[in-house]
Amino acid sequence: MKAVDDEKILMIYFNEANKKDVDKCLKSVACCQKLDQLEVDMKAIDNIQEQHNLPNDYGQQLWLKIADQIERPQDASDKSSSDWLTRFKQILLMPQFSLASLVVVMGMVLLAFYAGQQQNQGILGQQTQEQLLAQNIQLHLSQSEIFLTQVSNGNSKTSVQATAQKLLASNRIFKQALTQYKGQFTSQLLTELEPLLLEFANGTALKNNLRTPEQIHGKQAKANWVNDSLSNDLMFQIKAMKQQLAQKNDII
Amino acid sequence: MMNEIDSKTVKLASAGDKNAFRLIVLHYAEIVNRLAYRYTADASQAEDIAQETFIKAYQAIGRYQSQAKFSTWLLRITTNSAIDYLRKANRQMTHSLDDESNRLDLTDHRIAASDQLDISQRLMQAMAALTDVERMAVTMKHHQGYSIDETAKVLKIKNNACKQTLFRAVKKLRKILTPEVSI
Repeated sequence: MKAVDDEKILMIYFNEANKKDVDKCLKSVACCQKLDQLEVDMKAIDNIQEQHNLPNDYGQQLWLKIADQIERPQDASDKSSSDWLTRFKQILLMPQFSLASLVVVMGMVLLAFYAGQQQNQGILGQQTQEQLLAQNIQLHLSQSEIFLTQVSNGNSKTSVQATAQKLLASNRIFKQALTQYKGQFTSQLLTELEPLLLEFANGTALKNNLRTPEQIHGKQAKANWVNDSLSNDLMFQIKAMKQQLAQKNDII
Repeated sequence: MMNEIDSKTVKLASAGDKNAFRLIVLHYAEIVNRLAYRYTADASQAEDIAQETFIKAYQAIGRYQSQAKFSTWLLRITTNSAIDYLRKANRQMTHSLDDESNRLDLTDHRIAASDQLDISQRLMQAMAALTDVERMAVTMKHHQGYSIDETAKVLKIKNNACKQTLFRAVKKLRKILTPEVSI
């Protein structure tokens, strides 16, 4: 029988031949005999492997060999991170690195302390600035109140213009400073106060025989402009603002 | 018919229970080693492959699909481990199939020199004398029931080359059993 036929018989045995070849083989006695012999031989070949003897406790032996090696990919990553920490700790504890590690740790502590202090200072500085500004505005309002009371009473005529100029300058500086803060009421009051101070600073009010703001705006002249309702309103606002600033000690 | 381990143990092992995996090793160690021995015809190599198989199995057990038999999945890993092992060990797997005709003469010579040994011993020698590709092909097809297509695919050879390899391997082995056989 030719080699090509033998190959076909083997493929028939392995159930890999096409139906035509199988049918052809089954019709031939010689082919069937070859197929039978092949089956016997293949069984014999199959049996030789059974002579590979293993100990009864082979499973246990195998487990003991691999037990320490088996790990999941996740376990491996966990282990590697924990190994890294362990190695780092060990390095820090080594005598030749202990001094250096102490310096590193101290440096880190100082850095953290400095960073924290800077942060606190920033916060405290901002609060302090606001408090200082509130106190200064409070003082400015007191001075303005005194000034307006004096000029309305006709007192200290000689230094009115100079005082008004100083107060006007202070008023503008405080107005500018208040632009950085959220509080609008203080800024609004200073805005309302500014035209009045400007009049006295320019001497307009004095030249007009100490006209009060209400007189400038065409209102009835009075000896004490503070008695006027609008003036009373401004004076009231100044006083109220002073009290608010004194109580809260920050910008409103 | 292979006795399968219970699915509860497999689930526990999938969840990372090492003790459950130990039970799997105890249950399948012998089967895995015997298959590895078929692939290699060498007890030491079979032992290495068995160890490698279970280490890989533990790493991959989370991906095991319970639709397939666990033994089928495990023996597939054994086959792949054996191929990897043989490729690394001696590079025979990468040799051209043309080289294998030269090995046949050597095999025949060895068998002829050991006439006094009984059939089984001589068959074992013949099995060991097969090339790795031949041994893998016979084992995968004859013992594991892989198709020609699957065997060729795993061995990374063409279908016709796979058939030729199988034919050559069976011919060598049958010479021990029936020296006058034509196949």
